[in-house]
Parts: sequence; structure tokens; C-alpha cells
Amino acid sequence: MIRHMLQIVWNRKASNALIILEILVSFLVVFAVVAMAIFNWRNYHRPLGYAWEDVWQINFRIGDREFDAAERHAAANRTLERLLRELETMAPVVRAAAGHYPPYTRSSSSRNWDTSDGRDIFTEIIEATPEFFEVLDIRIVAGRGFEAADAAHPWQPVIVNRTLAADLFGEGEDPIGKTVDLGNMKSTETELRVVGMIDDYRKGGELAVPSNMMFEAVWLEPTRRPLSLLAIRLAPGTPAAFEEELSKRLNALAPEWSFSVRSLAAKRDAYLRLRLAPLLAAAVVAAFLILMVALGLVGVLWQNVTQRTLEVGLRRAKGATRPNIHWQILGEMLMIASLGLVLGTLVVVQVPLMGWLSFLDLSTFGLAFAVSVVVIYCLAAICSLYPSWLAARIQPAEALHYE
Amino acid sequence: MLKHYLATAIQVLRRRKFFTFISLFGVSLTLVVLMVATAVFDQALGPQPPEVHSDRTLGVYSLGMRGPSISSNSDASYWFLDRYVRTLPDVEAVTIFSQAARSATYRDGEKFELYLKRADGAFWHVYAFDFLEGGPFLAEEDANAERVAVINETTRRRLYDGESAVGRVLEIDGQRFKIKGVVRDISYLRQDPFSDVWTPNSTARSDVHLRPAVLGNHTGVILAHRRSDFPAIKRAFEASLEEVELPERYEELTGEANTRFERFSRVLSSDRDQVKASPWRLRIAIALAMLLFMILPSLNLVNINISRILERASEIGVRKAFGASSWTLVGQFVVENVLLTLIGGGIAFVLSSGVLSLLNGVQLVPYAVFQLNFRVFFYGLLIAVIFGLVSGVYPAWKMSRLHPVVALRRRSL
Amino acid sequence: MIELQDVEKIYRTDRIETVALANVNLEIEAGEFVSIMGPSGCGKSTLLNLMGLLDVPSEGYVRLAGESVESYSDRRLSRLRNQRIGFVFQTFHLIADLSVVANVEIPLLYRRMRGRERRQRALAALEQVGLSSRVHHFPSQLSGGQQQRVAIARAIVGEPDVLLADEPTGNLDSSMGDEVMAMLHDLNNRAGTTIVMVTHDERLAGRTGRTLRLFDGRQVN
Repeated sequence: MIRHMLQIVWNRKASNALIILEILVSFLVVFAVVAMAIFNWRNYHRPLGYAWEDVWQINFRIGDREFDAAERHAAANRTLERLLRELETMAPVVRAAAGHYPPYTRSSSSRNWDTSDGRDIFTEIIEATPEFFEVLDIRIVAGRGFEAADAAHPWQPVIVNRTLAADLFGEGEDPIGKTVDLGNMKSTETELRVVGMIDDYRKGGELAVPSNMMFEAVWLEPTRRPLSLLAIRLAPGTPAAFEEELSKRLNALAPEWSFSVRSLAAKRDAYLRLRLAPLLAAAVVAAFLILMVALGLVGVLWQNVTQRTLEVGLRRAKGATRPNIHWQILGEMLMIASLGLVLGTLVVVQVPLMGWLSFLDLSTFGLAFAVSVVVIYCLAAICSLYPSWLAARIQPAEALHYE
Repeated sequence: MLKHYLATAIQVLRRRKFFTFISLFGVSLTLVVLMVATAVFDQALGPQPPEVHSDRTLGVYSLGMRGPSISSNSDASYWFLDRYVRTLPDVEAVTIFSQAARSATYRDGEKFELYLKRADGAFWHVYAFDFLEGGPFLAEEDANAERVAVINETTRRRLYDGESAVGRVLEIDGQRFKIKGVVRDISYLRQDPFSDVWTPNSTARSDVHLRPAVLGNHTGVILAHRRSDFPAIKRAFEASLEEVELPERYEELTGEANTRFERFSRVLSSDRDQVKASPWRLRIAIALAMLLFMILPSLNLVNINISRILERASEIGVRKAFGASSWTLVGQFVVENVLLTLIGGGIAFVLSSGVLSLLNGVQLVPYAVFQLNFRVFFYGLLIAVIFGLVSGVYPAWKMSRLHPVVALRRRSL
Repeated sequence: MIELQDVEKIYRTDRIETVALANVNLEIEAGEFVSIMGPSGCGKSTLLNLMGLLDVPSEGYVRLAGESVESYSDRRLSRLRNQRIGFVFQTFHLIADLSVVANVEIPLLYRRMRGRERRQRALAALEQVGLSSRVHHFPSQLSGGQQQRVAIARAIVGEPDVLLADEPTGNLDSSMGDEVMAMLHDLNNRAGTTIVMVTHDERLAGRTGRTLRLFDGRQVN
């Protein structure tokens, strides 16, 4: 039976080629959308590593970078210190910290080096004062947080996330107390020693790809390049009206500086809207495209059935039952879909083989593939329902009448 | 001849309602997506108010400094622009302004987030703002650091319930400004003029903008007398880069005066270090993306068209018998398909305006008023015709090759 | 007018070769009314298609009005068909999507001619076949006989030298068939149009000037 259908499909290869191509392209579209959806869904459900509720960030501008003289650094750091102290005296403020790169921020700084045994290490770097972890409720899962005593060490204390620890020291190894292997940068750079490990800090937000993270402790020493951000944790239920007061107090404390206060909740809201809108738009467009393909296939199959009245009539005359005809039309369509899928698979497997879209892990890829195959088969089956019903209604006599 | 083709086409469409429906569904859907994309592009790049002179403007958007072990890319500083761009010879005007920065104002404990841009007197000459009341601040007011501001319509509505705002005092970013004028909203996609509140450069909270630094967060826009002056201005600007004294560790300064389109193509380009703009690459990329998007709808339409060849076999046979050459038939079927896509284009035009007003309604992009204007209509028409040709030529060619004897043997339907 | 010399037509599929016509030699003078007879599958329609330049012989030559057409391009053949030949088919082959008058206009469409003149000549041809009252109807609204009269109007509107008719009365009852035949005779007598007609009907063949008989692709005299 399958051979017979294959033969029919083969004999009509010229007219089927374009339909197969259409199935192939539809499959690619479905695959792309499903893969994106699964990818983002999975990311969304990964733990963030921080708590955004009741956290506000305060951005400030102090001046240009490259001409900063030493005394201006010192002045800026003095002001920062004063601001942190003052902030913690305000009633609703539980904790205040300074740092770089708050959550829901796209900008980052990163470091990329080869270890002495030749492994390539990539990590994002975040400088922060010790209180940063408390403000954002980043849980230390091993070792300890930064402490004031760390300022005295000749080495730089760092805190890493789990994936970076695994990259640096191997899966399951305890990273605490170990020195980061900087390879040939060793001679020029300060020694980095791991004092603690966190689960994660997904700075890029819920939809971001997980990344390696390394926190470097910062004390507001006079020579240090000033940080760019203040973050505060507020007592739960602090009214939004506090912002006005906060703003006024900040402006009064540092009249030369420019401040802008935003809650992480508001940032997160804007972030999700901005990130989800294009995904949603792409999904809607893809859905319409598939609906269009479905209608087109119904049309094409319908036309085919009309053209094949004679053939179907003869089959009926020779004793084929209605279900036989049903299954034949359906089978042929599924056969065509299978050919399209085989070609589609050949295209899609190029993606991991060529190393494209390397952020898609194998299980996401596999699941997306399976879902897309099912979607295409369902599409083919639904599209052949009406035409195959039409074909099954053809009476043997009609065939004779036809010629 | 054309009239006959069109009459035939319309009859064919009228008599095969299901096929007409599925064809038009696909065509209009495709064109809606492309037209909406075009409208968004037009909103960002087309010559719309207040950028009515966009064909005569060049902007200095970013500079790159390089040294042996270090490199920095950023916007230019006020000091740099004031000194090296404002002094360019033979230009109509130069305006220097900061990027719109998020700021806040509070009223009765309620926070209003507003974008604040610092600009100069020439800003109001380079950009043709539509003033609802009052007027712009002047160059002298900028020189004297007077605390005056221009706000947009939405800000007036949010803060003053739409009542007259001129003369009122707005406290923003810890400073108090007297409102001098109210303008119509500017789309966020128009990054250069966009803001909620505009105040003079000299009112900045710190004197940072006056310090001698090359990189900062300002933009300089040059209004040329005519477009043909562009090459001379670009050369003069690049020559002036040579004179700039660079900070320690840096040896080279690069930058360009770009048109809006050139700038946009650079923003989209993934290559961060690429300081040269390449608008052609962007044009080609856009065209390719559009064609790529048309693949599936085209295949669909091609398949529908081909499956209908046999239905019209008798017609093809008759036309050939009575003297139509294969090319004449190709012409006829292509005309039919283009007509179909044009009808689809008409439907898409109506649907697009619906989709766009929906987009405007949710205000995904602040103050963006996406609309279908003549330019978008023209591009839409162009896209529809291209789509008609892409999806029509192959089936037409295939139809025309049908042998007349075979065609006539088929029973007419 | 039409000349066939050693014409052979063979249809090939990947497995079978079918000889449709073999060794046909024939000459039809201008103004003749010739009928072609023979049983089903004897090659009558193939012969007509060759004369109508719709198909090319596997061997031999076809000449139309002294022109040797074997090396003609698609475009030149189309023009020749358009100017010299009119067709009438058994199943009428009217274009269902076009009105009666638009159907008749088709041959003129492929000449450089103004729309108004085209319409006038199409209306004149329809008047000639007595269908002036039905010009804006669609084929599906006409009886079989009326449809065939429209087809004849279409065949003569371009004033061709030759009219090729493939069983023009095959789908009509006898009174309608007679009507159509009368029209063809009238055309032959008055305009001097050369007519070649394929038919099954001995009675109709008897009324033509000459009858050609085919059997298994060969001429029988």
C-alpha cells in the first residue's frame, strides 16, 4: 500500500515538488517559532538568582571618563560613600549598595581568557560593594559574602556563579578558597581568589540566556574609578511617593550630580513588554502564515481530486470502498508531507552541525523538532479531510460520464 | 488587450470564489506584514515633521578613539561639538543637543517619568516643531543659562490636564523651569528631536558639558544649504578631527558626519568597530529580508495557480489555436496575477491601517503614530507588484507551455 | 491552399510508439470543402491538428498557402494561425468566463486592432450566425446549437482562408446539426473559405465537395 502511494506521488513529482517545497518552508517556519518559544519558556522558568521586589536603582551622572583626574575620582568616591551612609538613615531604606549593572540591563563588561591548560573562559564581570548581595537578595550557596576585612588582602576576592565555578574548577569541585587560573595574564593582573559561590545572577532578566558571572568586591577607595549605580532595598510596602522625597534628598546631598530613580518592578515590566512584543508578533505572523498554507493546501488538493475524478471512479468501479479512497488521499498527502519533512530535517540538522544558534541546547532543539513534525503532520491531515471526503463521494458512474 | 485581460481576470476571480478567497487571504496577509514593517521604517526614517529638512542634515553621532591597547566608542562631548562642528564653514545651521535622558517630576506625591533633552537655539530652526502654544527658547536664553523649557502635548495633558502651560513652572531633575512653549508629540523613533521636555544646554546640573573632553553624550546635527554640499562638509569635518588633542594613551580619532539613513545602517550593523556607514548593505539586507518573508506566501500562491492550470486548459488551447503565442499568454497570466495581488494590496491597505492604529493604541513605542501615507502607499504598491511578479511568472510560464493539442483534449469545466 | 507531403506522425511514450499517421500526401485547393472520415482513432484529429499548425509532423512537410512552416518559431506559427485559420471544435471550447461577444473577439485580440473595431467586427460575425440578441450572455446560458454558432462566429471573425472543423455537429441533435452545416456551406459558397471538416456522418460527408478516408493512420482511396 505504502509502495503504491509512493509510486503515485513519484509519478506526479513535477506537480508535487512545489508542494513538498512549501511543506519544507512551512516546517522551517514552525520549527523556528517553536524553538524560540521553548527556548524562552525554559529561560523564563529558570531561577533568577535575585529578588526584584522592593528594590530601586538610582543612576547618577558625574562626568566624563577619560579626563578624570585623581582628585575627581577621590571626590566622587567620597560623595558616594556619603550618599550610601545617608541613604541607610532614611526610614524605608533597609540596605544600600553601589555597583555596576543592575538587573534588566543589557550593557555589561566581560572578560575572556585562556587558562594555563588552554581552556577558554568567558565571564561577565560585575563590580559591587559587599551590601549589593543583601540589597538584591542574591543567596550565597557556598563560602561567604564579601567582608570589610577583604579590603586588606593583596588579592582580589571574587564571588562566582555555579556555571563559572564548573568552568573554572570542574563540575562538582568546591571552588571556595581557590585561585582563578588567569593563564598568561597572571603576571599583569591581580590574583583573583574565590570566596563565595551564588546560584546565579541573571542580570539580563527572565528571558536572558544564562551566562557566567563573577562579582568583584569594591571598596570606595579614593583612587578607584567611581561606580555608576546605587541600589537600595526598601521595606515591603514602601509607597511610590517616597521617590519624590528620595529624589529631593539626593539632589540636596549632591547638587552637582544628576539622579534618576527607578524601581526594578517598573524596569522589569517595561523589559518584559519590550522583549515579548516581537516574539508575540512573530508568533502571530507565523500562525497566519500556517493558516494561509493550510487553506492553500486544501485548495490544491481539492483541485487534484476534481482532476482525478476518472481515476477515483475507476478505483471505485474496481471495488475500492469509500474508506479506501479516504485513506488513499490522506496517505498521499502524508507521504508528500513526509518528503517535505525529510528535506526539512536535512536543513534543520545543519544548524547544530554548523554550530549556528549555539545557545539552543540539544534538548530544546529535539523537542522543537518533535513538536514541529507533529504540527506539520496534523496540518497535512486536516488539509486532506475535506478533499478526501469529496473524493470518497465520487460514484463509479461519474468516471464513465467524464470522458 | 489589457482591458480584455482584466475583464477575464475579474470573471475568473468572481466565478471561483473559494480560490479567490484563499489567494486573497494569503496575498493580503503577506502585504499587511510588509506594509506595517514599511510604515514603521517610514516612521523612523521618512522625511516627516519635525525632521522636514532630513534631506539636508548630517549628524555627528559617534566618535571612536583608539590607542595601542585601548579603544573607546561613544557619543561626542558638548565641548568637542561646540569647538569642531559648530565652526564648520558654509553650513546653514548647527545644533548641539544631549540624548533624551529619563528624568522625573513629582506632583502630589505622584511620579511622572519624563524624557529631558538639553538643546540650543538652533535646534528649533533645524527641526520644524509644531507649536500648540508659546514658542521655542532662544539662543540668548541658552547663552544666559535661563531656566526655560518647552514641553510636549502629552506632558501638558499629564501635568496640567491639558490647560495652557505657558508661564507655569515645571520642576524636573531637581531644577525649576519656566515653560515657554508646548509642541506636538514627537515619536520615540525620531531619536534626534525626541523628548518630553527640552531645556537649554547651559542649564545642565553640572558644568560637565563645558569640560574639554572628546567623548560625552551629545549629538551635533548640521543643516547644509543643499544636499550637494554634503561631500565638502564631510571632508571638512574629517579634516577637523586631525586637529583634536587626544588624551593620553590614545592616538587616533575617527568619526563621520552621517545622514539619518547612514546612521541607521550603522546602528543595525553588528560590527561594533565599523565606523564607516554602509547604507547599501542595509538596503540590500532589507530587500532580502522582505523577499525571504515572501517565499512561503509565494510558494503558496504558485501552488494554487499551478493547480488551476488544468482547469483552464481548454481556454489556453483555444487561445493558442486562435493565434496567441506562448509569450502573449505569459503576459496575460502575469497581468491576472498582478491584478490579484493589487486587489490583495487594497485589502491589505485597509487592514494595515487597522493594525497600525492598534499599535498606536497600545503605545509600544512612545508617541509613535504609525500611519499609512503616500510614501508607504507607494512602497506598498511596489511590494504588491513585486509579489505579483514573483508568484505569477512561474505558473504563467508553465501554463503557456501547455501543448494546444493536449489542452484542447481536456474537457472544459 | 494546404499541402501535406509524406507526413508521418508518431507519438512516443517511454515504452510504446504509436503511429498516428503514416505516409499521408494530400493537397487541398483554395475554396474546397473537404470532409475527412474514418473510424475512431484513425488519425483524423491528428491530421486536422497538423493542418491547423497546432502540431508538427514527425516526418514530412506541411505547407499552408505556399509557406513551408517546419522551421517557424512559436511566434510566427501563432501569427499564421491567427491570420489564416479558424477552428470549430466538437465540444465548442468557448471560454466560460467570457461573454459571447468577448469570446468572438479572441482571434482579433491577437492582432493590432482598436477595441472599438474589434467589437464591431465581433458583432457583425454574431449577426452573420444569427445571434445578435445574445451578445452579452455567457456560454453556459446558451443551448448547444447556439454555442456552436458562437464558435463559428469566433472562427470566421478574423476572415481566415481556412476553416478547420472537428466534428462540428458531433454534440448536436440533427436539426441543430443541419443548421450548422448550412452555415458552413454558406460560408464556403459566399466567402470562398476553404473548409476541412472531420465527421462520422456519411450523410454530411456526402454533401461536401470531396471526402478523404483514413484507416489506421493511412489514406484509403
